[in-house]
Amino acid sequence: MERDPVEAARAYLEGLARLHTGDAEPDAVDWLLRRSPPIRLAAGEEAIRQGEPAEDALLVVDGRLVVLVRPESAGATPEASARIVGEVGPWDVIGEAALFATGARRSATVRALRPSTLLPLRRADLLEGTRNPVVAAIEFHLVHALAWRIRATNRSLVEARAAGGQP
Amino acid sequence: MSDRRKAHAHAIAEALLDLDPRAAAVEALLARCETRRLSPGEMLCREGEPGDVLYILLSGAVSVTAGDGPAAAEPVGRVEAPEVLGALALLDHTRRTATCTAVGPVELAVLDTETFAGLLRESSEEGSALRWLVLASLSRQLARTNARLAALSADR
Repeated sequence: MERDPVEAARAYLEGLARLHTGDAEPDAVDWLLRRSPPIRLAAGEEAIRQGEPAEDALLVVDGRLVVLVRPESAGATPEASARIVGEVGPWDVIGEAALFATGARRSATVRALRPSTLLPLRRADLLEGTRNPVVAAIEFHLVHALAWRIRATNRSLVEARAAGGQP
Repeated sequence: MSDRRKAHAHAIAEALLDLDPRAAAVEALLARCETRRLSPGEMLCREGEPGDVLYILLSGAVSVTAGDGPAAAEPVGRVEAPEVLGALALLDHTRRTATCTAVGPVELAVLDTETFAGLLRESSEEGSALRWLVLASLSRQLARTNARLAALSADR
């Protein structure tokens, strides 16, 4: 019996709020889930596709997804040319660039490796929930997710320079 | 003073939160900060020191230098107001990776560690303004780092 995506998202948000803002009022969780119902993907389905308009960020509630990037020069060539750049799972965030830039496009394709639940986050909803502790917890989580991503990219940069002998 | 704060808040909201100017929220955030002024040539932070405060550059510019000895005289960058400085060091509890010096007269809003940590979890206008300013700053930083990594890979 598969878990109901709304219940999975509710448990996830309550955990997140308790962790970060110490406050998981059911009303605050419901407000967000009504505005932003979770998405359930079957294995093989795409959460986002490279090149498409980016309108929301997605929080991974459960499951496992693979991140694929095809070279820009490849244009519309088959997916076969796409390179796997990583995997994401619970607590990860994907597509967050959409929250900061209008007219942005997805820089990668993300596909479910097994059944996965995602919570879409739109900037307008987050900004409307300024006084909602669950929204505050999500934004707090995004801050740390971005900081973590910068650290990881910095490490790759250091390794790439060491490997290439570049300054 | 409050007129000045309002003007700064507008400039910050427009430049850094461009999708949705939220000057009132930024103004509330600035009210929670200390204001500091630097004279030209005055040092804002020094490489290697603990990164224990967040700076919001309100007016003016700072030059950024890194490294020891004579090489340190070579600026690696310049940051113009409005901009947020020091978010990553504060989140990571790490040391400053660069030295910042006022280029001309500089005006700053300063948040200490405790106020920063408290506001970052707060469900309020100013808490939200801080989170979005930090998110925008980190997002730009990530884009720069990604671009450097891509350029390095393309060189191979």
